[in-house]
Amino acid sequence: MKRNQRKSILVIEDEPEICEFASKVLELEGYEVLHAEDGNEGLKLVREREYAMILLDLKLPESDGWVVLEEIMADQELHRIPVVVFTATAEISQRNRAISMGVADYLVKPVSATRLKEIVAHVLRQER
Amino acid sequence: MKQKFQILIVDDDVELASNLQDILEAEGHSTAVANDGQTALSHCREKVLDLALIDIRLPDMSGVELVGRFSKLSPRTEFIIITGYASLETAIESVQQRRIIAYETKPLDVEHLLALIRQIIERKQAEQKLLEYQELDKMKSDLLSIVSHELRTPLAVIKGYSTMLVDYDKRLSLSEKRADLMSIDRATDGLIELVNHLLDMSRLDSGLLRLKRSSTSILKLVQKTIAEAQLRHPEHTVMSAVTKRLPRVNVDAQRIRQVLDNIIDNVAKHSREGTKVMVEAKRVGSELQISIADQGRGIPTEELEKVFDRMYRIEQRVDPKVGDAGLGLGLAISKRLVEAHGGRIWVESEVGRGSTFFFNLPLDTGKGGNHRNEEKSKKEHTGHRR
Repeated sequence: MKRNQRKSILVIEDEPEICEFASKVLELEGYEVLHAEDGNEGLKLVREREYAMILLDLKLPESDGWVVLEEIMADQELHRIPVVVFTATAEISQRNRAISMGVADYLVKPVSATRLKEIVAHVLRQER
Repeated sequence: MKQKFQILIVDDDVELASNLQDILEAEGHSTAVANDGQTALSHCREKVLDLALIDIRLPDMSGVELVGRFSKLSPRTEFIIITGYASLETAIESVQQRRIIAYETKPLDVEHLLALIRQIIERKQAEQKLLEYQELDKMKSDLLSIVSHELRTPLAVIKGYSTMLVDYDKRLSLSEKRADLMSIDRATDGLIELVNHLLDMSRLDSGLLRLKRSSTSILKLVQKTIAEAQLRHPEHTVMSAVTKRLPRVNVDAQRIRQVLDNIIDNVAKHSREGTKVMVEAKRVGSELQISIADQGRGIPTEELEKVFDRMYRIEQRVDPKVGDAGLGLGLAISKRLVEAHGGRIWVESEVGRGSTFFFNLPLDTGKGGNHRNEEKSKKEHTGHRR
């Protein structure tokens, strides 16, 4: 894994400080991180290159996180990318909905750096 | 809650109608009389009626037919049919239909009728209460889920950055660490504000918030507010125009300061960097008017009134650039605080041009204030000057 091809992760998150936190942890873990501040930008970036994983907030401006999730899951190619939801919405109904749509994991904020790094490593290991 | 009804008596027996009217008015109800169906219908177009007492036989239509047409026009009205024994069966049948709740037989047993009306009032009150409870319940659960969401965002910053500082201690530079700690600090401030807002709102709701009024110079208050607001919002130019020689007002200075801060922070949040925020204070008639104008995006007309609703920010899609972590309670609290001072608050806006928030405070704020101030202001009014 540690040869030249670093794995890329797309972070779609509108809160700048949380986006920076997630990006920083993932970069420290050796991933390449790209980020989008809203749903539209996220959908644009996701089609531009290959990603090993997407970290997705649900409450987003422009296209909501759910819209992004639906589009990704409906796309023949994109739906193979594991999506980890990273949200402040703790309701079980929302969680179930996301799981039924096929997300790899559903993380409720707050999440420690340790846990974020473990979950991402776990999801990526399963993917191989 | 409503104890007295608006009652329409529909009967072509003029004497009976007039007697009924006397009896019901003596009970405190407001009444009107119509002697036929058409007149009754025109009454119900004009006024909201709680109850109609309708004779089963009217000159131009049957009482039951009138109820049918009436209830379409005025769905919240209750109906009592008045009937002689000859039409008793029709009356009983009509009660079995949904709209008519009871029938009374002629000659009328007044006590019975009044008891019936009291019953209806009680039921309506209970229904009203139930509705209010249901609304309250929904609001509570909405608020809970919003609060949970809004708490999690700053918590995510605190938890995230602090664990990152621990986990990657050796790999982070000193300046990175400093920046991370400042993020934690800002998130903590956000949490404190959130808790304060919730506490204020709950105090206002339960009437526990007490104003500590004292004679206050608005000029000084505005100047101090602006100086500090400028520090909080270096990206905006905060300016003021305050009429000199404004009379002192008897207000809770800290709370009025809070209102100003809330509004200034709100407009700063919603207008672009480099724009001006203008705070003015002047006398308008017997009131002091403070206005805060921005050069922001403006608020669509249909949303102007909702701005002060406690859920306003939540209902609309949050602007990404606003980056606002908060419950949007600031303006709702401001409205309540201004009203607690006997004042009013509103906003005028033009989309694309900007918004101006106004709040007026009565200059003569004797009510609820302490007596010394009241007396002092009276003296100034009638006193030696002039």
